[in-house]
Amino acid sequence: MRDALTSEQPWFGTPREGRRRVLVSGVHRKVAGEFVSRLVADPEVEFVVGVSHGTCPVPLLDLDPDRFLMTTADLSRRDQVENLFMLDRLREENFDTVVHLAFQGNPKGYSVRRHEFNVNSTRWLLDGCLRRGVGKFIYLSTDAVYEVGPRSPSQVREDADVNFDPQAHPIVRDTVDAEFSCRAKMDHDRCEIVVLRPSGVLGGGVLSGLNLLMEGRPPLLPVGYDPLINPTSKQRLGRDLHLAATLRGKGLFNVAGPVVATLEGFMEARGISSKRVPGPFLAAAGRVQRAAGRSRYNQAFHPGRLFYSLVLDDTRFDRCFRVPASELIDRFGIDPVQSAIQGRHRVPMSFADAG
Amino acid sequence: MPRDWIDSDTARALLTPDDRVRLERYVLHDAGAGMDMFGVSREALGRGLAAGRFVHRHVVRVRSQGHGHVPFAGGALVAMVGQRPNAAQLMSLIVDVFVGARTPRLVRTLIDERWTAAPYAGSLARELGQVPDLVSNAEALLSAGHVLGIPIHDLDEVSYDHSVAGTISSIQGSFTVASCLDWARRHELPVIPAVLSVSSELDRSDEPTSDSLRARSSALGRRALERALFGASGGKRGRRLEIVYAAPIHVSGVDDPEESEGRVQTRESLQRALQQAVAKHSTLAGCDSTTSPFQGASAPGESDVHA
Repeated sequence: MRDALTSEQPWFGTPREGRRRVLVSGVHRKVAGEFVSRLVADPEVEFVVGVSHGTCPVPLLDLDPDRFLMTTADLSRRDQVENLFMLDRLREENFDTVVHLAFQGNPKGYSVRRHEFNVNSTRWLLDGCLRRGVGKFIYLSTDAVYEVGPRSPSQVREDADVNFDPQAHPIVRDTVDAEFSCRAKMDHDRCEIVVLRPSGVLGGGVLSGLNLLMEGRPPLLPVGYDPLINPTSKQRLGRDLHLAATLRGKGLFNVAGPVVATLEGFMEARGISSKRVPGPFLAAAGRVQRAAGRSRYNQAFHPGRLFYSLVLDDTRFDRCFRVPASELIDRFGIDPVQSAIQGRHRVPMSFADAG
Repeated sequence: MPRDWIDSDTARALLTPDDRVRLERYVLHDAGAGMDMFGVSREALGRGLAAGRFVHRHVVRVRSQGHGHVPFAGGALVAMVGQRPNAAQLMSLIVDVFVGARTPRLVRTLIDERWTAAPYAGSLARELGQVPDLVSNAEALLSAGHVLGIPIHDLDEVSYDHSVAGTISSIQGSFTVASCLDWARRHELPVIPAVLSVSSELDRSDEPTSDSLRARSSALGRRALERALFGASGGKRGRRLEIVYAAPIHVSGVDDPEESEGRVQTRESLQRALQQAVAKHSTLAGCDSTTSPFQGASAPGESDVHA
């Protein structure tokens, strides 16, 4: 199936040449665990280098040391970022893919240092990629960059309004800044730059807004509102990252889950019961709940999220990555991303499994 | 919670057997959790239909015909002309198409921000298929093959006659003939004129039959409701909403050089076709002359009248 987008860019969705040498920053994130495990299991991947502040995360300890190397670096410092491209392992050939997942999103104790880390790490990594001829740079953004309100589109596409409100939470502004650093370089002729905006990610231990909300005891929701959402899961997001790293294509993409339902519907499916609070008191009630250690969800991060629907339309990602991947299997019997294809259509996951 | 404003079983019990069958026949494009991409679920439709049916039958007292012009599948634009519907009238039109068309179709509309921002009301509207007033939403609905209802506000230079609008305000955005033409052309959709008008009958039911206080207050209540729905009465009684779905107007494609086979191509020709539909159909059964801007030929008899 070729449509307007892929016919304009006929190389979209074709497998990249050679074997992958991948740098993944922010391997402490839960989605990074899923993604790195998939990469290491992929025979087309030569090796993966994980970068983090601290020691190797437990889920990655068992990986083959020949194929997965863990290193530490402070990504807010340019010299340390430069050093990443000069590892012994890279003496013959440099990375061909850099996946930037590192982000300091803790709203508590937000400071200039965090801002510098969030924005500068993206800039230094991207700059390093462009100067060293890295073939692909993937930046994982968030759906919090979208403006949400009573006049939001029913299905939010990539060209929807971004939240440029100067009063927006600093973390959201950092994300927008970092994203725009990537978008400014998207015309680069050798490096394919991909920005992924996942809808809320659900899964044990994931530090996404929706997941933190659901882990609250109890989750607080506003009276009279039940927004529509289509969250993804860390497994599905890991699979989508794998597809983006394996197939050719560049640009800005929404990445969402296959099921559209109300927020309360998702909670009911997981056996979570919520408490309703009048809308004007929601922020105050949330502060009290956080102070009491009953929740880590900060409503100020994305204020409209619990009031108004945010359904991401990820048809563009489908067309550029999921559908071409399935076509490759159908036509040539090759499997560019192994089981990544399982997630190419919207329907197969059950409602309860969607998260 | 919005979903609990009426129990699903209670709602179904309030429906007629025919409406229950229609509800089951409605084709819902399930997005995984029993609701479509826009948040419409069969349960919510059942609840909305239970409430809307009452308004349709006993409050607005709709009489309609021409449901056969609503396509049984695929997208269409329902151009509301003759009178801009207020909230109750819009709800009645949606119910009317759902219960009257050969295949139950849900007319989606683009509603105001003040409605979508309100607690309960916003969720309720969404569950019944109504979306925020944005062009991108209209495009998404039309691309997905839904029936989109849009009031046309520039059919005539004088626009709608606001004196018959009633005190219940309209909750949806209105559009121009040009945007209607543009959408119809780009999505290759038929434009179905839905001619709305208010008729009055010599109905003395709201006259107090006795001098008792109860009878007088009941008559006053009915008059107030009628005034809210249809505006100042001008001495008329027993008013009701008449809806006629006229024959579809087909629009020439972008590449078609000129108008052919009864297709319209320009804004003027679409405007003329809509005006003719209003003139032809707004005189149905004792319609108020004040609500018929293009009063002319009498309406043809059509078989599928729903009252």
